Amino acid sequence: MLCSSCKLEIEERANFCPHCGVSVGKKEGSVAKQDMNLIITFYLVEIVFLVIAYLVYRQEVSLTIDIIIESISAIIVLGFVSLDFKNVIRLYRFPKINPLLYLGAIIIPIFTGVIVYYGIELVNSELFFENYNMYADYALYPNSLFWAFLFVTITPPIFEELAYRGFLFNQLQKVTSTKITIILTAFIFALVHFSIISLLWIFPFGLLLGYLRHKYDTLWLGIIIHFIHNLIVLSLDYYYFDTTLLEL
Amino acid sequence: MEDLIQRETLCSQCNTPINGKTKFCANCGYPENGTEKEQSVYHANKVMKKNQVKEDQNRIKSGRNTLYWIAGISFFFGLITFLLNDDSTTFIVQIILAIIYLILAYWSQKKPFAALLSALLLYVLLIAADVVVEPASIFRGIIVKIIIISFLIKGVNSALQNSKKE
Repeated sequence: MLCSSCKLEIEERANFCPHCGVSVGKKEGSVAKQDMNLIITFYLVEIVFLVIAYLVYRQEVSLTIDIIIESISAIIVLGFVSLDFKNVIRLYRFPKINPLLYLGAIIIPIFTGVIVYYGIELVNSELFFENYNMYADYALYPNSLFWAFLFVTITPPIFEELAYRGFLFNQLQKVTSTKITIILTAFIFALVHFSIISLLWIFPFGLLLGYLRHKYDTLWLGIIIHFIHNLIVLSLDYYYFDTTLLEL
Repeated sequence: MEDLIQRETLCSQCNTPINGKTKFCANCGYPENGTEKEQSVYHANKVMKKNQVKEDQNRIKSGRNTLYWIAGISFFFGLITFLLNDDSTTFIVQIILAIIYLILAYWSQKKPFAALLSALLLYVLLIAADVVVEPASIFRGIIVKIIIISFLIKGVNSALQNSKKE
């Protein structure tokens, strides 16, 4: 290791350079603060965007508005990712891991997706006396199934994994330990879903995705699990939406 | 004789062996082989650092106390809406929030940075959620909101400086 100040050779485990006395190894406070500011900025931008999106949806719902909002959301994520492009793109490699893991990432979310779906429905109807059908948001659009499929099962796994397990994970790892990074990314991931009920299951879901991202250093497992999960939820919503229509 | 040589190569501050002719201790940064002036500057800095740490700890503590306050406010707000409007949904939500804040306050004893940051993000989110329901609500109790946020931000920054890789 070389001292960052006087460029002389120093021991790996040194806290200070023995030649010039400069503190080494540990991050300087101001640098950590910069990383921290970027994390806060990312969070605030996401929140402000979500609030504006909700307010726009309340005024008017149309396919055009949906497409615009989804595009802006993707652009925001890509903008932040571009600040740390090299470290994020690295996560798109396929690691040499047991193929069974990929298989597990496909099969296990099928079961957990069903459990979460009925669990949430139970909690919602018991506590809040309401039900929410994801497919209903898209049912009136032309080619409704295509748009629902695109905006529920394709874009969220790609861009949420990129934003939370990619960009945010890397940023947090600069200022704190890996364990805290996994917990905080899961917590923020749960928060931006804007629902107190979802905290109950999205937080553990985020913990799992964060752990896999850390262990295998790839985003693919998270993307697959996230995709299958959303696919299950949308399929069930689609199934029940049709039957409720038939009853009418 | 051997004893004497060994004592010479140990840092007088932290007892780490010092490598030959270098001026500073690699472990604590003390200018063992420096001038008297450099050594007193080291001591002065150390005292300053100690004061800084003390101040940081106070800020972390204020942050934690803020969490107890928010938990209490959430609980009473939920209770009052329940008693006045018979609104059990709000009551349940506020109770859950109060519990989350209490858990974060407890966690902040071990991991102040993570706990206070989580609380700050959660608090900001709840303000945003109110804005979604009613945009004008952002101005309601804005002074209290700013005070709470500034206490939490100070706590997060102090925790960040204090325990980098906690």
